[in-house]
Amino acid sequence: MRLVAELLKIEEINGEEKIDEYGFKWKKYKRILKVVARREFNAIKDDIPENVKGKVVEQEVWCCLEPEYSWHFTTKLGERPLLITLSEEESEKILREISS
Amino acid sequence: MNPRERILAAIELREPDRVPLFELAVSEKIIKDLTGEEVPAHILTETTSEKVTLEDFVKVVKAHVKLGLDGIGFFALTDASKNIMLDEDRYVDEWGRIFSRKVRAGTMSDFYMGGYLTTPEKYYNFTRPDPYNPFRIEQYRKAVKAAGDSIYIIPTAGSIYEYTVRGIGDENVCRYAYTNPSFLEDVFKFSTFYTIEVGKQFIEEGAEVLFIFEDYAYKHGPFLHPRLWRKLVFPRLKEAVDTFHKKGALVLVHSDGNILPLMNMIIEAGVDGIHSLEPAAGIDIKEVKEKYGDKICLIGNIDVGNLLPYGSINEVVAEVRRVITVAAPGGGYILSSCSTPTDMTKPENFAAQVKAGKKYGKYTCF
Repeated sequence: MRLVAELLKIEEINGEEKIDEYGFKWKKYKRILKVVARREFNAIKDDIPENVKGKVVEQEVWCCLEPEYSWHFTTKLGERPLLITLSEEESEKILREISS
Repeated sequence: MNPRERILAAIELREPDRVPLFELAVSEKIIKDLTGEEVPAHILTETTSEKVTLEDFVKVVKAHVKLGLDGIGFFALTDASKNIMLDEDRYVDEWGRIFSRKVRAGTMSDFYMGGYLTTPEKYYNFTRPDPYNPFRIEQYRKAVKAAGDSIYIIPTAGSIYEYTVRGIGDENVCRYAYTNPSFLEDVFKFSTFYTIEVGKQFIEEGAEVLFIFEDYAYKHGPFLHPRLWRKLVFPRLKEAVDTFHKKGALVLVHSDGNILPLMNMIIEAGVDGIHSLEPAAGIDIKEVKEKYGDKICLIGNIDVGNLLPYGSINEVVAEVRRVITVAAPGGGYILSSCSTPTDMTKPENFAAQVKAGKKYGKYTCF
């Protein structure tokens, strides 16, 4: 199962920075996501267990600080929230955590 | 991620490590100019039953890897040995389409002149393409073997609408949609059968993603009124997508033109990704991403009509950056020209497109 989550916000994590091969500066952030549905191929299905729906999860990510990468901080596309589709592995991990 | 993983992640609307770089095909002239290699790249697009060796595919694959692409298309819709010559110049292909060899338009294929199967009588008396013709799978096998993990090959299963319509003639199809819809239903029934049967063979060979190659629209809108499209084409497209999904494969559709009036139906049919998103047809990638980007993978939108042939390198880089900025968030975007970079494309512009995609398309993993 691939879970779908809304990206609620992106928070800075103190510390790590890196420079990539183009000289772009990257910094570590935390993404706060709310699980809302699952995917069946690319269709969104909201028939996920009640204890999974609405669960807030965190993801550590590297975001690029250069203006060319402003899109790394996008949380909304027009009026709608940005949806993040989690991999099967990430989704399984979340489901395991909830059931344990 | 390797090219396969990168492309699959994008099609499944997940975030890959980088925006994948894909082209349906790249002209031999661009390949030669950028890599110095003379390779028979047409074997990916112009399928014939003539002997093409594994070594030919190895050369072609290596050249595309050198260009920096993650994925390329593989067409298998026409067996050129079945062409019927009309005169020294023109021929009719398996789908009833008339082409000229002499007329050129800077594209990779011969020039489409019109439909040969203009009446139901002509259509029913014409030998239709054989979906079980073994040359197709034999060539696909070679292409995949040559590619290994270096580049991802997406085969085209068929064409429910375009090839058949071009065989009958667009203007005739529009007329028959009103005067003889049952004929068109019959016609699309066959093209769907062909597409499904070919697609099933590719899936059995290991294909995870299939293209359905169409042109549903011209620059101003769909060739068929959306109401007629829903009646005649939608059920067939859905049938093909459902069949491929049941077998575990993802489905992409290629269509040039302004397909916006059909987008909801394309999504409703279950299509996983849509290729072309032709900017010259008024497709605003930002608007499309906002409206449909959470339901379907977007592929293309880099203009082949004006930008790649006539723009500057700086303009190409700026456009790639703009498109990535609006289409990449959250995943579900594959960078590609909106059709195929033809002989008209400046090679340095195509190289700039690929380079910019790698530089500005990284996701939130370092």
